[in-house]
Amino acid sequence: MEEKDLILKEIENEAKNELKGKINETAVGYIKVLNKKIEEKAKEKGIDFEIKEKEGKQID
Amino acid sequence: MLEKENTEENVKVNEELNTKKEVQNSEVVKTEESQKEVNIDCLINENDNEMKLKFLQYFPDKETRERIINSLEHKIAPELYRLVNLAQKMIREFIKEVYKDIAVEKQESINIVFNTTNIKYANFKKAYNIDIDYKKRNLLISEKRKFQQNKVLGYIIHGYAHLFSNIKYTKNNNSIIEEGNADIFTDLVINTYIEKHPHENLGFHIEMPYSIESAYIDENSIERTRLYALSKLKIDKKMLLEYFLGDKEKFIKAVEGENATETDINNFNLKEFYNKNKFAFEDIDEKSIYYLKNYILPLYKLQNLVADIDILKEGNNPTEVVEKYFKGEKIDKMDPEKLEQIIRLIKQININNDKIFLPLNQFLFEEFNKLTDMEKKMSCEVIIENTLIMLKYKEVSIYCEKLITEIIQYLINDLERGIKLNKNNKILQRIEELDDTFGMENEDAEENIKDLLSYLRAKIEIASNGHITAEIFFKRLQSTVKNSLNIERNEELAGYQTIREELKGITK
Repeated sequence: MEEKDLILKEIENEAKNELKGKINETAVGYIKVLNKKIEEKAKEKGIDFEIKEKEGKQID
Repeated sequence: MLEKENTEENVKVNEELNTKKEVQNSEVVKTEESQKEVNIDCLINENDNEMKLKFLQYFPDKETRERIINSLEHKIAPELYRLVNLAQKMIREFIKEVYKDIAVEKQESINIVFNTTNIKYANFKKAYNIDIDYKKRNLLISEKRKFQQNKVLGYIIHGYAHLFSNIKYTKNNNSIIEEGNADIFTDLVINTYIEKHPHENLGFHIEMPYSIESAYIDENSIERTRLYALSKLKIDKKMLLEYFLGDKEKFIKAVEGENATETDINNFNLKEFYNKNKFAFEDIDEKSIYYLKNYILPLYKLQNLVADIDILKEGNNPTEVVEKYFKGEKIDKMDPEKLEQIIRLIKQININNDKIFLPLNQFLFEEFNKLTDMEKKMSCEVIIENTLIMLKYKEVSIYCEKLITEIIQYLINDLERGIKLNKNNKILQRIEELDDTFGMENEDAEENIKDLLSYLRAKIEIASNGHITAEIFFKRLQSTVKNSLNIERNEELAGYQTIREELKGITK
């Protein structure tokens, strides 16, 4: 796995831990809140990372 | 009936159909303008939903359109069949309740969505619960949620809401309105059904009032506030369905005014909306479905109570708000019922948006520090009742421990001196309302306060009854056993019986 991927994986785990107790994984829209958090944390660490909405698709 | 200008298209229909199959004893529709024959049966027998939907526009008569729409095909995974049927039934009933006579176009949209959407479980690598593909007309539900049927039902209805909204998908809709409204739609559909069928066994439990578990906090707050305003004009449900099944512009104009632009709908302004719709927010009903998952309505309710200051912004100091409400009175004079109302509203706001108010847990400490020793002794009953309210809502900082124990001791001293209390029942009731923890982040401090409160309670009961009755003792024992011991119910009951018999033996 590339270094960037490893860092992003770490960021994802951090983000999930921060959401624990606030929003459950079973909540509609959890993935969007998680993705937004990952983007913010990646930005803080100077990593260029953006999750784009796919045309014609809706995830919740 | 085909229109003249579409004669070319009509030729296309026939060509497409005839290249695929031979026509055999089929029904024929003769048009008034054209001598061309259209093979409806062939179209209906095609396994191509997109083609059927494409040519639906050329058949204006209701019966033919119904035949085509009913011939649309979709696949529902067997393990989801029952829930999907239930979801569709719930949606149809809700819509029938809102529209006594639904417009044909809207009814067709519902049937098209139901008859074209494929639904199954999927194993997602990411933390998705629902995945919708508007072009492929797929609604996928996370397999991980398979055994949480109440959640899956919510996902299906939420998914259908998006599919209705995007039946003519061109681009992704504004997320705030789309997600907020999809959640509201789900809540209304399920609650309406269960209210009408309260004894129906769904095969799983639904906690009432039902509200879909959602991460869309801002979306729900904004859209529920908009729909609450519309509910005062009794057009909330109709407009919600107009958004999903009709003209989205109508919905936008209804919530934000005739001249509303896309900017208005995208940028909800707390103060502007409140001022524009004051009539709707005069007496906010906390039992309304629009009050759930909403930090804006409690904020508006609080604004009504503290009209002198503007709290429709971020960073409010809760102590200042409470002071303003009580017009500068200190905690020894604050009416506990009114204090509880303010604190409850602030908590409801904080749960969903922690930027509107600064932390509340400094309030009690600041209030205690304003009191003189004489004021504490003279009004310890009121101060204790208000302290118990803050403990109930878990908004007491660790720095209050000494101040709280001091106040409780004043009251115990009064009781021991035989001074009659005015609020003994109220204080007992408030102690009963407390949870096991007070959110003070220090176990020792909490244990200390709990011990003192327990002693205070015993003193109040003795003062009221002359002694602690067996009934009070057993009630206390049961509460302690239930909260702190992991014990089988049979063992628990056997324990009580043994204690009763031992006590009888002692009194003899």
